[in-house]
Amino acid sequence: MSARHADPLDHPEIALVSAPAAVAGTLLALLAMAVALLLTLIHAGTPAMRMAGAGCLAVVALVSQALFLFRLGLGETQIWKTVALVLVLPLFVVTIGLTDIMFHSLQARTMLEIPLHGGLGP
Amino acid sequence: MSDTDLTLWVRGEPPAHDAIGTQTYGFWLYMMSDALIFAALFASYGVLDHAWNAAGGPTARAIVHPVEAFWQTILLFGAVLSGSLAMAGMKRRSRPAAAGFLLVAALLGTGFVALELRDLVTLVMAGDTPERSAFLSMFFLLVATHGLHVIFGLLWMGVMIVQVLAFGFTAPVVTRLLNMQMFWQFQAAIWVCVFVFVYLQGAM
Repeated sequence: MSARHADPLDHPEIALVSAPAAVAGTLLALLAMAVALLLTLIHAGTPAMRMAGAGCLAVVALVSQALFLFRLGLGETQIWKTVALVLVLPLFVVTIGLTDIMFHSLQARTMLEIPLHGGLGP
Repeated sequence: MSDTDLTLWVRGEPPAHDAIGTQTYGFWLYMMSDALIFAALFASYGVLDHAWNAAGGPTARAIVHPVEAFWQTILLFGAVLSGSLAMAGMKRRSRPAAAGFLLVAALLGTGFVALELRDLVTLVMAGDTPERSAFLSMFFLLVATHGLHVIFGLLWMGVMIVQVLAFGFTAPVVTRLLNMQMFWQFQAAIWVCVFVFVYLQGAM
């Protein structure tokens, strides 16, 4: 964190604000989402391939937002926000990924096969 | 130990303290914890997004509409861009530009919420209420939690428009604007995950 500033608008975080960067970040993220939507609508490849492609495009959108909107980086002003995000991201991914994988793989291997619409009754 | 080696108290003027930077960093840490709340919601959705958990009711494929969700994406990303342009207006020391772009952001955000509410109300009217199945409970919870965040952002934006016009760019107002814009951008980042892992995956 940098030193105190008499005028709040001289603060380094204000200096990072950039309209062209915001436009670039928004357009990149929107383009990534549009391509992901297109892949879904035209049913390109297998569902697994489509999901992997959409996941990659989500990463592209999130990285463009991090760089161009949040203005994260290794500079003095933003480095600790970047560090905090880098430490939280694995928790975010592991929380979702492990839960999803464990439940779906365990469900198939350990749960009784119950008819989806029939129920257990006679 | 000699008493000349140890400094227990700094006399006189304390070292410079970056109040704005400290507060925005604190708010950033709050947002990281908020991200983990969403991680728990996405994990639960991933578990319950299964035909068994639909309990004979609709699955994701039957209730998600990716093209309509893309319109929401455009509205929310536009609102975030407008918020960023408001920050650029603040940087130029222009109160009308900052307040004006915040107003545009609020209008676009309201459009996003309106489309989301329409979708949820349509589901409820069709009998697909949250209590219909575990899957629907989770779908409503995830989408509505994000929607509530956006609504809170809209309220915050309304307050900031008034403060910008009434007080100008004082240190507290600038700090709140920086935090508000981070919060607003965070909603777009979470929406990317909702759009891809709920709406697109549901349609696959």
